[in-house]
Amino acid sequence: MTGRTQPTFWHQLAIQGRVIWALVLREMITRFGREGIGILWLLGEPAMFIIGVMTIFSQMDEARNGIPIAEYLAVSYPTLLLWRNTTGRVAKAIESNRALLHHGPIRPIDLFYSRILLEFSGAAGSFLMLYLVFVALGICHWPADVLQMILGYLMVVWFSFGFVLLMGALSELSETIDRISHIILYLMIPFSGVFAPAEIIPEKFRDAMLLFPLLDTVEMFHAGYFGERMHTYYSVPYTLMANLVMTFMGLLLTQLAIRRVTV
Amino acid sequence: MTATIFELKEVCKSYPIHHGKAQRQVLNNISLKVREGERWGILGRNGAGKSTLIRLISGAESPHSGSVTKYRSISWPLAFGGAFQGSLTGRDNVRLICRIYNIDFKDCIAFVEDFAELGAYLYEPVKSYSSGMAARLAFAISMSVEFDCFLIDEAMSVGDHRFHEKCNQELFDKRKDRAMIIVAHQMDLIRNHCDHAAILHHGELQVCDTVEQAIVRYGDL
Repeated sequence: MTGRTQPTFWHQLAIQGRVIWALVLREMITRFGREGIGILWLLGEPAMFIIGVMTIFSQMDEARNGIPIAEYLAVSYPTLLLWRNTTGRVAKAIESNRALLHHGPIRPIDLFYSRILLEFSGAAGSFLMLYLVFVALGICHWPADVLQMILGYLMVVWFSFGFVLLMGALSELSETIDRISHIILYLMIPFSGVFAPAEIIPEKFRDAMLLFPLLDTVEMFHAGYFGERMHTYYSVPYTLMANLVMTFMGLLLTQLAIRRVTV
Repeated sequence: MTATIFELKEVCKSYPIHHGKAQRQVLNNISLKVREGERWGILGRNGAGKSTLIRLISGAESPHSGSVTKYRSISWPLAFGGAFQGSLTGRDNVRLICRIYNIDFKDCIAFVEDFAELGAYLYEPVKSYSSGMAARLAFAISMSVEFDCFLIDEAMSVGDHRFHEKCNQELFDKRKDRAMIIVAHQMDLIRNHCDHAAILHHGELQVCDTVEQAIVRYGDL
């Protein structure tokens, strides 16, 4: 719209990529600063979370169905960081950065995307780093099926993306949702597949709970890592559909929220 | 016929008041077409909607009805400190702008260092700056991106006399071919630098034939 000639789609995509990257770098400096370990906190903060949860819960119980708790949590718990921490970061991202919108190239949704990208990188990076350390220490093993594990993780990432957009948009639209979002996040934990994998959920509830796509995605991821060691339950077509619908809803509501905030 | 920079068509803008129970109309059915090289002065009292108009033109906000179409690049409001991050250093702010607008950081930082004369403060967070220093940084950064149209929201009143002169030279002499929108309630700025003028009053924009006429009419309000 601002160019001399109508810019092509690829040209616009390049601008958006550049802007998101600029915002990510800015966010890194404002959040972590240059003092001390600086941006290493991006990995350090979630890593401390994972280690803390592992240590505490492995004291309560040695193993479940033959899988040591420490190993289970080291793999499973990091998925929680994707959807939970990012939701908190995205809430009110537009309102608190309104002044940046004076810059023509910055579109409001870039503020969402940049925070999501930064948070996801921290969650994925810390998981990968710790996982390799735990394999070296003998706490974790190599995955039963690497490809399935990666695909499962990407499905969790996809779910989280749609979910975060949805929550970000809703908290931008409604003060009430913004206020109760941490309650929603907390109450979602039993349905997240982390503290209760599908195999320990009573059969009469299992199918109903699998309607929540997050559980399916985490089960896919579990299937890739544990293989034969764990019974996993999921439906690939259903999860694909659910993720697709949620992403669509998320984008739609985000667009609505942006219109509301900037008008 | 010179090219159009941007065009406002029947733009209306209102804000919620009384906790969203009512709306206050700030801009009412405003149309304006700005062409290459035109220098518009917009006069209006406090609260007349001048800054709202600037926010609509820069794209920070959207109108309720009507349209804002940009054909060329338009600056953020000059010396507008809010577009910068207080917790970032001056240098990091320059870096952010360079990345967003895709300009060379080395050239830009050299220009800002020389122009803003902040010395070592460039390496300190912007929130530790005095208001004059922040304005100097903001102005210098604005001048390092080439725009076809500059938005000026009473920016020139900041800084000491010498800096003021420097800004005038950089903006009005070196960039005299660019379009400008100057929004002010002080008339000198508009009398000295504008060739078109309009008055914003009670949400309506009255375009005047000459700058002098606008100043006289504004005085009568």
